[in-house]
Amino acid sequence: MLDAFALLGDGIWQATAPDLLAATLIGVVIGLIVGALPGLGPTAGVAIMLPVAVSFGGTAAIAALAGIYYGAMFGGAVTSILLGIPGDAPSVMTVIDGHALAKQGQAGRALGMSVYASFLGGAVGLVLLVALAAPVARAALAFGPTEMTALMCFALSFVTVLGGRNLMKGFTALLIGVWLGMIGLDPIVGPARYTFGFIELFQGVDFPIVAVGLFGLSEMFLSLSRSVSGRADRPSLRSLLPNIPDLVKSRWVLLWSAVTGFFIGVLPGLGGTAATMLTYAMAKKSSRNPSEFGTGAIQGVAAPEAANNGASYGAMIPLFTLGIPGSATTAVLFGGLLMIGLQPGPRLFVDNADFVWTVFGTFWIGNLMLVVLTSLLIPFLARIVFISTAVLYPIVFALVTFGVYSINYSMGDVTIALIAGVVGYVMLKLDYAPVPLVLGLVLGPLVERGMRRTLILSEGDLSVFAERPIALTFLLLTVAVIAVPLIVSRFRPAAPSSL
Amino acid sequence: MATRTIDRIFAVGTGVLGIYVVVNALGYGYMRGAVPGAGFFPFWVGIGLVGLSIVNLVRGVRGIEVPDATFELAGSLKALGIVAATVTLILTAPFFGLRLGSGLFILATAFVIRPRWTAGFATKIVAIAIGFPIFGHFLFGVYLRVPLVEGVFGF
Repeated sequence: MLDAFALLGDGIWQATAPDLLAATLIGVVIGLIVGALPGLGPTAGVAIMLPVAVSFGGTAAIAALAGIYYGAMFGGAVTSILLGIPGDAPSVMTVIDGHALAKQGQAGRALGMSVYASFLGGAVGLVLLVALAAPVARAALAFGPTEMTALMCFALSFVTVLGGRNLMKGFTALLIGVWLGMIGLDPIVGPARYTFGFIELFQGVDFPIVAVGLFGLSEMFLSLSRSVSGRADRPSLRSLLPNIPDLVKSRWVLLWSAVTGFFIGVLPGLGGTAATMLTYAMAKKSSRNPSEFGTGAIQGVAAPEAANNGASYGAMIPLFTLGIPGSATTAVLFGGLLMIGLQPGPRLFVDNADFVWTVFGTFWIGNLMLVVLTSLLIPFLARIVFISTAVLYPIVFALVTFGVYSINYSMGDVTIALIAGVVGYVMLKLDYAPVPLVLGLVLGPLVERGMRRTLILSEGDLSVFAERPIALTFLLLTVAVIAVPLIVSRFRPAAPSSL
Repeated sequence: MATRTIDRIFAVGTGVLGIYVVVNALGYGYMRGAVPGAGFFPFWVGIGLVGLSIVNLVRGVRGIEVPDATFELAGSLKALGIVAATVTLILTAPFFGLRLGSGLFILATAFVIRPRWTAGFATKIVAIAIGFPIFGHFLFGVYLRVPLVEGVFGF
């Protein structure tokens, strides 16, 4: 473990290179803005910036994209507290007590606590990430193609959690994604599959193009019918400085919320939102004044903010060590890693150790940047929420066009992104969750390759999956994760259908 | 068109996709001796799509777990308008170029989202329509060295 922290120290030193500092800064600033804007969550922000960030190349690309992810966790609290509107899903719980404090004229106190809780949550999350990532990756190195195939099947089974309220539609979206992942030259035998005669599709569908459309454009199409109005108080910088009595009073809540958030974030499919809800409930239960919660309890801000930042680093564990994206945002990050030529998974720690520890170093620096930046930018962020979509969205759409074009220098890619945006818009309206589609697109090819390689090695004998205990365990877990929700929903009283 | 109708059409569409996937999968080769061929995986994916589309269609007809959201006219028209503006940009890029085209695109998209302009808003949007192409040129064309599409005007 001490080795890991020594490697982190080296990674932090590497991350102070000017290009990496610039990329991290760009990422966290964009993340702050994206987090503050209702209608654009971290997934949309990462997806929209994917083509641009990948142009930075290598470590800088991932530093920027990850900066958007955890930066959005800081930014989401701003609108939650000032306006009572969650900037993103993980900041929903912050609204309850944060906005109550703002209405009492204590917006600065609430915002200050959210900034420091986010920083502490991120710091604890980073320590745990560094401590656990390498051992998990070492354990996963013992996996052969049979075990990896079973693990990928297990990852795909999380569509039951990520697939929204309609499981059947979630599985449908998953299979559509798997099919999209099969477009192109077959990796083992060679015929071109489902290319419709287009040579451009021989290399398959470019993941970032689909992601930009599915998560970025579709969300913007959806939010065109929403509007935000009103005004928010702009707290002074002085009021944002640490309130020591609040920090002392909340010290244990901050610590265990961050740890709990981290471990929930590790679990695919749960993520920041579940972490905030659980830790808020735990904070209320353990409080000496539970009735204060809901009316402006400072711990009601501390717990969810520490948890969602801890969870954002917890989500990096399955992504980096096992190659399993456990959420929409980490699925897009997964695509970003593939685009720069890196395969997430245990081999990343062996073949590209410098890259991994430098990226972790950028996380540390980004977390520090966010404390300063959030405090300085809160007055600006409070105003940015009210920027009209008629001003903001044309810029974002134009930026998407440039970004997608810059991937392969092709306006055809812009067409694909647009189609994905329209399909994503329709899917969201019809309760087909887009996350399973991305899971299928990203993991489907890996499952197919792994399964076919395994069967080639075993000469078609499927029993090899039952003979290897780790693979068998994952397959049984897969069946359980899929079957249990289906059985439960079968026996649950039917909800009245809407007319 | 009601959301439920669109839901059923989408379910039928996924079924047609599934049939297409299965038919082509058989052409790629289901098995090669004892091991799966290029069509093995797509075959089962297609079967799954057909099966799930039938389930979704039946559930849609019976009114089980119908979507709550609606395709409200105003929002849908704005989305369509932006789609039309983007398609126009794609088709006219060889003539206008991406820089000039993006400026015109910004004006068009702003008009779609807010058809009635005040003098202040118009000033803002025109400034953005002039400034963004310059920003895009320097970020993408110069810094990232992307060969941006040039039109008949030379930029």
